[in-house]
Amino acid sequence: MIGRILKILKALNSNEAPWQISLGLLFGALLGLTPLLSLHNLAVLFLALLINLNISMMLVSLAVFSLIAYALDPLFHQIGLTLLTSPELKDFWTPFFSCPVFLLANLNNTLVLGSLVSTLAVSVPLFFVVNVLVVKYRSAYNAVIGRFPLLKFLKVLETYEKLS
Amino acid sequence: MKTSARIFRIQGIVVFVVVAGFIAAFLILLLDSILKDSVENQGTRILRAQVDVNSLATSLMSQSIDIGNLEVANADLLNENLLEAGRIKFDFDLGRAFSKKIIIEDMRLEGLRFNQQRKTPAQPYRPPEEGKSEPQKIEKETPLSGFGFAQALKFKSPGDILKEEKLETLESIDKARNEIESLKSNWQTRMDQQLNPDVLKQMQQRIQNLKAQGKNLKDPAAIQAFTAEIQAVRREIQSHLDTIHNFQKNLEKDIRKAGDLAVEMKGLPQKDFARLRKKYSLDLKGGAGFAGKMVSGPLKTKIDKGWRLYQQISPYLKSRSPSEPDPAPPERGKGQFIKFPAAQRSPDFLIRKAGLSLNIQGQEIDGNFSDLTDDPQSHGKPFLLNLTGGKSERFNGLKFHLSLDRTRPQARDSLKAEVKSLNIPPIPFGSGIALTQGRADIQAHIHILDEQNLDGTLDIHVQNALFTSSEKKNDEVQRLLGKVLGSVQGFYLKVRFKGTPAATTLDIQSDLDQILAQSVRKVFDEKAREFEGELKRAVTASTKLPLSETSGWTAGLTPHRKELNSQESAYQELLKQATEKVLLNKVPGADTILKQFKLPF
Repeated sequence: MIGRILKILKALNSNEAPWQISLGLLFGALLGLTPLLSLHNLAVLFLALLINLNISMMLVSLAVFSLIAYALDPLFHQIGLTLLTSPELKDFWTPFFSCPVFLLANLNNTLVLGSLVSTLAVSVPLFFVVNVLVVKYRSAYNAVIGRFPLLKFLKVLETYEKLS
Repeated sequence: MKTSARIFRIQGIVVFVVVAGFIAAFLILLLDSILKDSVENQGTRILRAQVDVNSLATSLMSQSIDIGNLEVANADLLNENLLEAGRIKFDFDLGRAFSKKIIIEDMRLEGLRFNQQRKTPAQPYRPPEEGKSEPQKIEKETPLSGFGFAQALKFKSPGDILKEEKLETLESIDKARNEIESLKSNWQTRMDQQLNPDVLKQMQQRIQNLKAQGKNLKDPAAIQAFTAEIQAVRREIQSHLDTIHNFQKNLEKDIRKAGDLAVEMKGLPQKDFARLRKKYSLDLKGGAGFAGKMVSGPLKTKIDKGWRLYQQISPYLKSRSPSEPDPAPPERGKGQFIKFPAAQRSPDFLIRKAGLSLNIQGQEIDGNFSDLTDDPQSHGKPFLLNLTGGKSERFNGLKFHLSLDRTRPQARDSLKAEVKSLNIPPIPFGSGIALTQGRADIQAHIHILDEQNLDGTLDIHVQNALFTSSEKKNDEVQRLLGKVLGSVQGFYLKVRFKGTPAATTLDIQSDLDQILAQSVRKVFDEKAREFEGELKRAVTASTKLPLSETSGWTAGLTPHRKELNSQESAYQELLKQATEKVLLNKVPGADTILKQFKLPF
C-alpha cells in the first residue's frame, strides 16, 4: 500500500495528465462504493484497463472507498429503496427490468442501485474538483522546487536519468 | 508542465481479457463445488435439517446438472434420513437463468428412499440468528400405536371417566342456578322499590283521613276539593293495582320458567349417561364399536400427520404477488431485491416434467410429476404426481394420483390412491390377539378445498384374514373374541373423514362389528350392562345433590306471588273504600252539588 501511495505521489508530480489521476480516483470510488462482485464492475474494470488512467490511484481509491462504503450502506439502501419503490418510476422500472441483463446485474437490489446512482451522481463534479486540485497541487509544488536550488537540481537529475 | 496523454491503451484490452479469462476459468472450475455448497447450505436453511450432497456436476455445454446421493436428514430423528435420492439429473435453460428464472424442462429422480438410517448422525439445525425457537416435537409414532383390542375391550372405571369428563348436568345446573338467583334478586328489588308495604299503609292512612274529613263538610267548594282528592287517591290505587297485575303476570312467567328449568335439569343426567355410554361403553348396538375403537386412534394420528405435512408444503405452492417487496429487513451489505412485474408474467421456478423411481420399504415404484412451480396462477396448470407400482411381494398393484391445484384463488387439492391386495404385516392387537396375515384392497379419495376443508373416504377390504390368539382362561370375553376372530376370513372398513386441521371427525363402519356382535353379544352385553349400570350410578351420584336444589327454584319465587296477591286484595279493598258514597256523609244539598260536579265513577 505504501508503494502505491508513493506511486500516486510520483504520478502527481509527473507528466501524467490531471484527468488520468481524477479518473483513477473515480473508477476506484465506483468499484469501492458499489458491491464489488457485480456485473457493472466488470464493465468498470474493462474501461479502467482500456482508458489510460492511473491504476495506482484507482487501487488506493478502491481500498479507501470500500471502508467508506460500509458506513454508507444504510444510506445507499434507503436511496435504492426510494428509487425502486417510487410509484412515479414504476413505469420506467417495469420495462427496464424486463431486460435480463439488468436483472443479472442486480440493479433491482436496493444497495446496488443506491450505491451506483449515488456514486455516478457525485462522480462528475468530483472529477472536475480533483482535476483542479491536481493542477493547483502541481503549481504549488513547482513553486516550492523553484525556491530551493537543491530540489531543482535533484529534479533535473531525475529527468536526466530518465532520458539517459 | 506538459500534461498531454493518450486516452486509450490498447494493451489494456489484452490485460482485461486475461483477467476476465482467469475469473471465468476460476468460476467454471469451482462452479460445481460452489453449487454443491449452495445446495447444502440453502437446503439446510429452507428445510431446517441437514442436507448433504455427495457430488454435483454441471455441464454448461449441455446445460444440465447431475446430483449424486442427496440426503435430507430428519430434523427430529438425527440418525435417520427423511429422504435420500440416488441421482437427480435435470436440464436447465441457461438463457432463462440470466433472468433469474429456473426452468427445468425435464428431470429424472432415481433411487428415492424415505426414512433410511444414516451412517453418521446429522447435525441439529441451528438458525443463523434466532437459535431460540424450539424445534416442534412430533410424537414418535410406532407403526401400530393406538391399535389394540386390549384397550378396546377394557371398560374404564366410571370414577376415572367422571374425573376426565365434564358433566353437562353440573354445568347446566350451575348456569341455571345463577339465572334463578338473578331472577330472585331482581324480583326482590322490584317489589321493594315499586310495591313497598309502607306505601299501602300510607294509602290506608290517607283514606282514614278522608273519612274523618268527609264528616264535617258543608261548604260546596270544600266538597268539590274533597271529591277531587278522592279522585286522585283512586287514581293512585288504580295505578298500584295495574303494577300488581303486571307483576303477577311476569312473576307467573318466571315461575313457569324456573319450573321448566328444573324439569330440564332432571332429564340431563340421562343425557350425560347416554353420551358417556356411547363414548366408553362397547355396546355394539349403539357404541363406537370394535372397529372404530381399533382404527380411530391410529387413523387420527395419520390424518394429523398428513395435515402437518400438507401445511408444511402449502406455503411453497402459493403464488406471490409480483410487486410485493420482501418484508424481511435486509442484512447489512446485502440490500433488498425488489420484484417488478414482467410484461408477460411467468414463474421464477418451474419443473415442467420429471420422472421418478422410488423405493418404499423395499418396493420399487415408478412415477412422474409435472408442473411444479412457485407461481401456479401464471403457469395455469396444477401440480400432478402419479405413482405406479407393479406386482410385488407387498402388493399386486399400486396407483397414486395427487393433484395440487393453485391456479385459481381457491385451492383445490385431491388425492386418489389404490392398493390392490396389499400383504398385511402382522398386526398385534394386544393381549395375545393378532392379525397375522391377510390381503387388503385399499381405496382412498381425499379432497381438500381452500387448504382447510377436508373430505375423504377410505375403503379397506381385507381378505384371507387370519387372526390368532393366545387364550386367557380368566377373561371370558377375550377368549371368545379370539375364537370368533379366528373364524373371520374377511371384513371391510369404511372410513369417512371430514373436517379442518383443527378438528377432523371420523365415521367408521365395519362388518367386523356385526360379526363380533352376533358372536359375543351374550357375554359381552352382560359386561357392558354391568359397566353401564355402574356408570349410571356414578352419574346419578354426582348429580344428585345439585339436582336436589332445583326443586327449590320455584319455591324461591312463590313468596312474591303471595305478597302480590295480598297487596292486590288490600288495594282492591282500598279502592272500594275510596268512593264518595263511603267517604262523604249526607249533607243538605249534597245531592244537588254532586249532580253539578258529577264524578266519573
